[in-house]
Amino acid sequence: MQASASRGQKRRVKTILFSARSDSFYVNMNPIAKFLLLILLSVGVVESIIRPVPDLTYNLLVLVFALGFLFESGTIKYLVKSYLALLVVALFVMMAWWIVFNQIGTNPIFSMTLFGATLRITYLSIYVGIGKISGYASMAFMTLLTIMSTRDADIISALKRLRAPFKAVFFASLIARSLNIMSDDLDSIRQAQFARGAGGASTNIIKKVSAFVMLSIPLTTSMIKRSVDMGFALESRGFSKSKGLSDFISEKRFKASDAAIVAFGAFMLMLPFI
Amino acid sequence: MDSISISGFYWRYPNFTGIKSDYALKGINLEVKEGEFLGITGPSGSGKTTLCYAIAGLIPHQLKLPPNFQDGIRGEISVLGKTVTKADIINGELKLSGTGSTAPEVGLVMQDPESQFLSMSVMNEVSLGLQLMGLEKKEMRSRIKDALELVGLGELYDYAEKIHPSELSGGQKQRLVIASFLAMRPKVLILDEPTSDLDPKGKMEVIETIARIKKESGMTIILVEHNPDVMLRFADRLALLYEGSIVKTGRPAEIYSDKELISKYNIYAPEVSELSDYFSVDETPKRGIPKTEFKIERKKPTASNPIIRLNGISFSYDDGTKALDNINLEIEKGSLVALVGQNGSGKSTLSKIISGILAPGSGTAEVTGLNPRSKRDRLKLPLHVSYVFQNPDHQIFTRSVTSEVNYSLKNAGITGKEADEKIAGILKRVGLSDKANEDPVFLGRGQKRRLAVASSIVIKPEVLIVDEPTTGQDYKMAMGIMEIIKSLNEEGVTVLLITHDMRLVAEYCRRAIVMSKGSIIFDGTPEALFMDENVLRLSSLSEPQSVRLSKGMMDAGLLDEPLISAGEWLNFFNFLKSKTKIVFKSFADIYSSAEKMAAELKSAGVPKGMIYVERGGMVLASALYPKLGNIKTYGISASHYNDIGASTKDVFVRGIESLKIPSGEGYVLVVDELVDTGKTLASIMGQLRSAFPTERFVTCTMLTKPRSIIKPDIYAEEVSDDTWVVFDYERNEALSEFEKANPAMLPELRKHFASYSGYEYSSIYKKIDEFCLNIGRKPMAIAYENPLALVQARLLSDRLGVKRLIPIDGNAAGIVKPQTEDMIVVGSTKAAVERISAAMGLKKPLAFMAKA
Repeated sequence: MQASASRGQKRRVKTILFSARSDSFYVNMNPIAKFLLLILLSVGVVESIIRPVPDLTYNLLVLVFALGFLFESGTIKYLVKSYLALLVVALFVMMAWWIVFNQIGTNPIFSMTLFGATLRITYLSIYVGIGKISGYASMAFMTLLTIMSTRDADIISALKRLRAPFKAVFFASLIARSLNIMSDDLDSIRQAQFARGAGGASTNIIKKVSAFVMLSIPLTTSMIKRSVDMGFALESRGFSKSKGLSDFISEKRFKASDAAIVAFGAFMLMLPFI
Repeated sequence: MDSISISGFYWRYPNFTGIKSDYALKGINLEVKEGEFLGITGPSGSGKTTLCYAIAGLIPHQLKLPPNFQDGIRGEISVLGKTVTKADIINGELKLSGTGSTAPEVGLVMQDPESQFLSMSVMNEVSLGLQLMGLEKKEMRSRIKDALELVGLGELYDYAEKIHPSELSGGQKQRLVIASFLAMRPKVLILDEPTSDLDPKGKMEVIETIARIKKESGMTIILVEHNPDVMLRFADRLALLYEGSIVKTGRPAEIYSDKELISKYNIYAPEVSELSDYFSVDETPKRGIPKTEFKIERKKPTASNPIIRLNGISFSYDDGTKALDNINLEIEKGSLVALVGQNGSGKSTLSKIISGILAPGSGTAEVTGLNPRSKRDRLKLPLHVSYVFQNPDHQIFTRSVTSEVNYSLKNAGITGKEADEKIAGILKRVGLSDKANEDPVFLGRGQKRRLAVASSIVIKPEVLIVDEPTTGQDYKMAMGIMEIIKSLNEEGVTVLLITHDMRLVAEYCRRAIVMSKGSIIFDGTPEALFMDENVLRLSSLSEPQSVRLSKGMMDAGLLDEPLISAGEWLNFFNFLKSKTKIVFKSFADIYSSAEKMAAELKSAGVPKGMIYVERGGMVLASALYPKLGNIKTYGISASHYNDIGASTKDVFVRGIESLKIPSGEGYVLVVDELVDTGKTLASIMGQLRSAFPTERFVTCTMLTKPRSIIKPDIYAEEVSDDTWVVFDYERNEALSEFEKANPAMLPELRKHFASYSGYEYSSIYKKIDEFCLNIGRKPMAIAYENPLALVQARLLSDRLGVKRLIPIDGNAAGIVKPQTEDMIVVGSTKAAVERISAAMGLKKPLAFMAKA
């Protein structure tokens, strides 16, 4: 997408992963509030799933909250495209694994003896399995929501707001930007490698690993050149002469709605403890 | 006042090997005046970028010299009256002084905007320098808005906090970097090849922005650029850098006019520089160019055996951007096709689908017999289709040149002796045999590019895709790559050339595919593309300079089709020059030839009528007329201009409609003086046969040339293609044409006329000259008694430059009253003149002339 887009057409913003709706409530939330909420809800979910019988309702509530805002922020399509299949399979395997190795409950739905050992699946074991997996899923989705709805610029702004030292903020900013460039370069290098006939390696794990290692040569060369250029670019803006950054022009204020969402997180955290 | 002053500056880059490299800058002395637009050009590796870094104070204050490199720097650089760098040797030790960083007074815009973006939003990017300056928010906002507006990105201001720099187009990115510096209000702006990756429109957007800023703010601009068009248009002065030294400074027009300098220092020059014998750098012809029958011979695209077939191909990226929309395309095996269009038009995406890197979203495709929609086939495609990426650094996967080439072979399953032979062969072909064991990372940019090509072609692909083969390279490197590509194509490899360089398209390709917004908007020959203003506008392309020159000539009616490259122009001029001999034909020669031709004609039967082609055939017709027994005679004219004077593609013939050919047996004779290419006579014959399908026509000319597409039935003499034929009655016209087109031969022509004694004393010439002298001006037309006053009419027409001739039959029947009295009437007798005048209703014709 090119921003030759005229007024009124800027409907999406680039985030750490992919892009999100520019007018989304969640996207426009202060990143500090978002991270606090993630931590509060995650602690609540952890508290829920470490119990002998997890609080399925609580976990599902958090899960619905995450999915709801993934939808609201316009990022759910990337979740579906990129992670959902993997997540569903992983969670299902985890659940099966948990049920097999945690023989709990007295009311079996299914039972069989294998090599002298009895395998039982009970209503309770399924309930606990679903409870735990829904907890993991809700944490995974909340994390993805936070990453997919947050712009790297917001993080830098938040760090400045938190009065992090000038050099730390700048370093974080450069790291974020470098990762962005590196990701683009890596894409291009992988394509160049494929064009050299290395795509056939995808069927052979050793060749695949070897091909991956070989990516490091052009990537390193490219990043060294980039870092020199970035150093010069920084210096030509007067970095060494500067005594520090003045306020960011686009800092996100901590609004009442941010405070409300943190309060909601705190409330949610309390629920498993009640 | 000088804005920048550099004296005796030397710089040598430190390296890790301990071996001292040559100086990157050697004894630079340069003064740049306040408000000046200085262009810097030169071949790759000549020190242009290093000079920019030195002026900005990055060298040696940011890129420091280690202790063992004390002799790495000398000289002094001052910017805006402050010493930025001064290197003194005191007691044998290097003492560096100076302010170092020149920000914010000096801004430095580098080649790749991606590497200069240090923030994640447009707003933060522009504000970064201002934050480092410690400005207040209000001041920052005002400066950001001004800077964005100044570079034409004002409409982004409201969204600047939400737009990531990577979302911008190529031209916008570079303009954003410029805005980031402009916001800091610098007094000097240095731009190091800021437009090398941009399409022609993006390039001009950026440079025009810079020129406008200079004009409005009086800022000093230093621009490093290979593109001569940009330098000619915008730079006040040009400095030519070669191997670290400034070898010449001067006005761009002066430097680009110096053919020797261009060739010696290997710089890109405008196409007119190759045609400097004929055109000035400002595209003005140095001498008159005559209308000729020149026909450029171009290889026609064939349509037989497609190696790439795409039907309804569409593709969208993960973020929803639709990159290709319903692409239908066939590419012939062995063709060299240009894929052009603005940045982001879908060229690379299409190429990646053809090479199997991306899978098409919808539609059907077949490339070298494989299906890019099938994953299995896609994995095999790189063995048949090679893709040379734009950035050679992204294609180096090993630590030696040999192993780099071997990497492709290994992936293709070729090993052992066969691989060794292929590696040796391909390195020799690209001129890297002596670098076989070197680390590719440390090769020069041009060498890396050649290595990338070698690694791609070593597997002998059926299709080669090359992305911007000449970007960032000097002329010699670029041509080296193009010659390799051309030779591969001649060996049968199908080549798809992705480029913004229309000169490459004109010189190397016979088919151009233009993309815009994911669709193909043009597919045809380069010449058709360059003449299609609408496509050029939609695709942000611009025609090469050669085409621009051609358009001017076509508007003047001197060319029928555009010459699209300097090579074609040189062929054109060689065609003109190729006429190295003069055959001089006097009246005596013509009458003598007519005698023989009439005898030959009579042996086949006397014609029932004779048609002569004005004005060439008039004298011969006059000579033949009495010898053929006073047959019915008609005049027609043929030219490349229609009745309103507009040039026409086909030959425009006048007079056929009024021909009244006698009925009965016999043939009609068509007479002209000379058949050169034969195009005109062939067209006339076609039109005559079409108008009189039952008549038999016999063609007869004095002279013919071997290359003529039509052979006259009767002709007196054949002269070689490289011969100028001059008739003695064409004195004025011939001398004037030679003066314009071939001044070198003018003395020889004068000698011919001088040696023809008959000219000076012949009574007919004397009479005509006196008559013309008395008239003193050019009349609208000449009406003449046909065929008895043919020669007089012809001579008057030549002398006075009157093109409109009106043949009047002896009995003056059927004459249409002319709309002007401003004409000369010529007849064989005074009575004939009076009869014609009366019949035409001329009360006061300009002049009368009687033959006797």
